[in-house]
Amino acid sequence: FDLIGVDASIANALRRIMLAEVPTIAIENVWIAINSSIIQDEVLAHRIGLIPIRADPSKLDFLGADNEETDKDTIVFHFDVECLNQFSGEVKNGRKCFVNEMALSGALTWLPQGNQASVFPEGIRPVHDDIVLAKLRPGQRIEFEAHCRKGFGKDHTKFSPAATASYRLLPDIVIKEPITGKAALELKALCPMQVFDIEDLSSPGKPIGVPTAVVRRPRDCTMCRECIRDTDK
Amino acid sequence: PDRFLTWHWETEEEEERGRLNYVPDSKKPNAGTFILGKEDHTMGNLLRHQLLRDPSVRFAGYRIPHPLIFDVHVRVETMDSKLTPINVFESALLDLQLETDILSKTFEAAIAEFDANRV
Repeated sequence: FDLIGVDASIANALRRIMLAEVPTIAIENVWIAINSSIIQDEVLAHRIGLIPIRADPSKLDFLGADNEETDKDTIVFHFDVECLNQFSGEVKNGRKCFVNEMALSGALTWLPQGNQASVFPEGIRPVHDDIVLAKLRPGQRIEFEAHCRKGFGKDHTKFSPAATASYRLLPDIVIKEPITGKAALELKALCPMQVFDIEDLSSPGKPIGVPTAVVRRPRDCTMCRECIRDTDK
Repeated sequence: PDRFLTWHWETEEEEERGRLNYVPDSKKPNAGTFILGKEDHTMGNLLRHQLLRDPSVRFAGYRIPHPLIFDVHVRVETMDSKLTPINVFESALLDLQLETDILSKTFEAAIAEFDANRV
C-alpha cells in the first residue's frame, strides 16, 4: 500500500512493528508421546513451533507471568500419524508410496478447551495443511500434544505474522523538456524496467501529434539511472 | 542477556522506575537526555525525527549506547528557556499520537472503501 505525506521514519517504524510487535498465535510447548521417526525430538519440536496457526490473536490473552495455562490463553492440538506397511496407490517417481508416508501439518486436530468452541466457532487449523513435519516409513509413528500461546515477533520469530515487510520511496520522475521522435524511442529502449512509453501528444504549434516520451510506470523504476547515464542524449 | 529481555520487565518495580527517565544536562541549559527503557530504533528514530521537525529544537539525536542493554537515549536541546526539553518532548509525543491516529483512520477508511468496491 502507498503512504502519502509521511516520512521515512514513520514508514520504517510501521515496518518494524509489523515484523516484531504484532501478536500471533503459535505452538510453544510440545509433549511428544511417541516419536519413532528418524527426526530427533527437538528438531521435530522446532519444526512444529514454526507452523503458522489460523486463529485470531485478539480472542486470546497473553499467558500470565505465572505461566499457568488456562482456556483463555492456551490452544491445544493433538497429532497422531503412523506409517503403515501398505501401499496407498499413489506413485511418486516410479516408486509406490506407503500409507501416511509424510507427517503433514494437516493432521493437527484441535481440542477445544473450556468455552473455546464458542469463542472460535469456525475452528482452529494450521494455515497450510501440506507442511511436511517428517517423512515416515512403515512402522514409524509420531504422536504428540501441542500447546499454543500468543506471542509476538520480538519474542521468537515464529510469532511474526509477516513473512517480510519492506518499504521504499516512490521514485519521482520528471521530464524537464519534452523528449520527442528518435530520442524518445531510444529512451524507451534504454530503460530495463520499461518505465517509459511513447504517446503521440500534440504540443502548441504542431497540429499533428508527435511521438513523445511519457512516464508510464514509475512504480517499476528501480533507480538504476540508465536513462540519465549518457547525458548527451 | 536473554532475548526476551528486549521487552520483558523482571519486576514491576523495575518497570515503574525504568520506562522513562530524564537527566538534565549539567553543562548546558535547556538540554537534557530522556532514557527510555526496553525500547529500540522503532521508537528512537521516530521520536528523533519528530523532534527535528520542531523549530524550537536546536539539537535532537538518539543513541543506543550498547546493543545488549535495551535502552534508548534521546538527547534534546531547545533554542531558549521558553520551552524546556520536557515541553518539547511532550509535544513531539502528542503530535506523533495525532499523526498515527489520522493514519490509522485513513487506513481503515481506505480498506472499507476497497471492500465496498470489491463487493
